[in-house]
Amino acid sequence: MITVKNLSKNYGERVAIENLNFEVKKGEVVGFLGPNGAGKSTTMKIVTGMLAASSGQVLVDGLDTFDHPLETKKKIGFLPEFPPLYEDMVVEDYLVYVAKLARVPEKNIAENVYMALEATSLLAVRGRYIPHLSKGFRQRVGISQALVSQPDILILDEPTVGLDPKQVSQIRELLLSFKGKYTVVLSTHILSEVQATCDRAIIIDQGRIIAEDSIENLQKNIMGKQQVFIKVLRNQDQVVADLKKMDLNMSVNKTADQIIVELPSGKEDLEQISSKIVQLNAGLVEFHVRSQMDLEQVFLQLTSKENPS
Amino acid sequence: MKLALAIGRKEFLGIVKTPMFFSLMSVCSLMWSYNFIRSLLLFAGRSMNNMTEAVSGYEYNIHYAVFAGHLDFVNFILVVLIPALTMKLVAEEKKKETLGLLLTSPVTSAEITVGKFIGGYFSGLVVLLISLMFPGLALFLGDFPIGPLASSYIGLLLVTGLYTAVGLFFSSLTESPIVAVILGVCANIVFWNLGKELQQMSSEWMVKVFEQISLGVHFTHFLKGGVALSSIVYLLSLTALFVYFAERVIESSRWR
Ligand SMILES: Nc1ncnc2c1ncn2[C@@H]1O[C@H](COP(=O)(O)OP(=O)(O)OP(=O)(O)O)[C@@H](O)[C@H]1O
Ligand SMILES: [Mg+2]
Repeated sequence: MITVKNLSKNYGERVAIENLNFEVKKGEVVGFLGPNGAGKSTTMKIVTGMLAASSGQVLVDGLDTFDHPLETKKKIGFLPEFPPLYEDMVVEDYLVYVAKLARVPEKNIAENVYMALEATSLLAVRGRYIPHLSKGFRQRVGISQALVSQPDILILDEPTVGLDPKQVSQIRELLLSFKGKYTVVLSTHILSEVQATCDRAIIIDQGRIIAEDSIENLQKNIMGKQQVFIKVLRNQDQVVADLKKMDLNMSVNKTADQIIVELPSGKEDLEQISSKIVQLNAGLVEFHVRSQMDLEQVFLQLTSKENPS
Repeated sequence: MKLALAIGRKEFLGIVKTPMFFSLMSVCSLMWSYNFIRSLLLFAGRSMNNMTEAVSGYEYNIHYAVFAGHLDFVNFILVVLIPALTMKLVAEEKKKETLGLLLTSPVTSAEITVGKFIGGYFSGLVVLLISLMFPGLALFLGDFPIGPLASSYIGLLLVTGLYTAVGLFFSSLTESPIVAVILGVCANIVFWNLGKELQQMSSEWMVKVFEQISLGVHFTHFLKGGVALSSIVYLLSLTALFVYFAERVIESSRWR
């Protein structure tokens, strides 16, 4: 559905994104994850045609967004970082205007607007002036603006930013209801959001993709690990050697005063390790298990690796 | 084109349905009525005094004595007012980041620009319509040939288009409506006075060139009852040129 090839963007001297490559398949919900300034918004602006890339290519449904701007834009509904709301308009009139801009046929406009209002639970405020709405409702108007043309693809830049927890969970439910109906790309720097709503995450930092996998795999491969910190009084080298000899899928490292073992989650392996050390009578004084890194730690680990500062 | 009209309609309502527009129009009407009635009374008094003379060039006299003054005043107001009406067309969208909506919709920059021009132009037409009330009323009361008045309004229609295009262009250059107004008014004044000073000091051919460039010269033709094709072509091309510039600027906002 969306193919991004070697995409780069410089703002003058500043490199915002560098050589991005990724693909989003039809019906997928993909989380675009990264810290502030990672280049999430820049990427989304390029995909939606708001900005031109410095180099590289974006294909939407096989069409180059640069060569076929109108056709590709028709397929995309976009919620930018700051919802583009006109302060002198009533919610419903605004949506009608957006539908016209999206070239929705005249006869479908009323229906589409109703659908978009309903999907975002805005029917009750359809007649209100936009500046009279609360932040959460404005955000919803922003989302319904992206929905009103009934696009195939939804691109949402930080859809829950600045909302209170109740509204956040409402918007997340809304996002979940999009599953199967739309191809969704949403950006966020909040991991739980990705965990809650996405099939797949693309983690981006300093303009580069540093990890890209399904949430499941990310959890299994990186998060599904546990670390054991072991301190013994005697025979540390012996313990390390014996642990390495054990037929377990783990890595063993030692520092000056402790042994660090990294292995997949599970209690059986832990039991084997502890009984081994006790057998060796090495004077076990500390056996500290740090279980399951959550996505938050993975994220911090991944994004701080490349960025020593 | 349909989309440009939809954009135009939205922009038009955005300009006209504001308290600011209403108050500006009230102030204009007040100033115009004062000026118009004063010169009308003056003219009436003078034609009473020399009846014999007045009969021969009656139509021209009322046109020059009353209408021309009014039309000049209307034009002066337009020079200042149109940039104020068009200031927000693009600048505000940049400031509020709503321009992104237009840029990511399946709309061309040309449609956006033409739409915004239409919106601005129609709000200018409202101003012209209000200004037409005064000579209209005079025509209703007395029976004068309307030729010079009609040609003057053709001229006003054309310069309003130009002021709108200039205002739109400056609005697209900046994020600040205030800066857009100031630049727009300055540009209009420059266009208006181009050549006025230079006519004295420059060589023959320079005078000719500046006569062609200066808005004042063309507008005076229209005021005198002449509708010269060259003036129409000149004003329309200048308008188109500024709309084109505005389109380029809007398109270039993708290329930061
Ligand atoms: N208009 C601009 N001019 C210059 N630099 C810019 C501009 N917009 C963004 N940048 C820079 O490009 C980089 C990427 O910015 P971008 O807005 O894409 O980040 P982001 O991932 O969306 O961050 P956030 O989570 O804060 O929204 C940043 O270093 C930013 O400073
Ligand atoms: Mg951002």
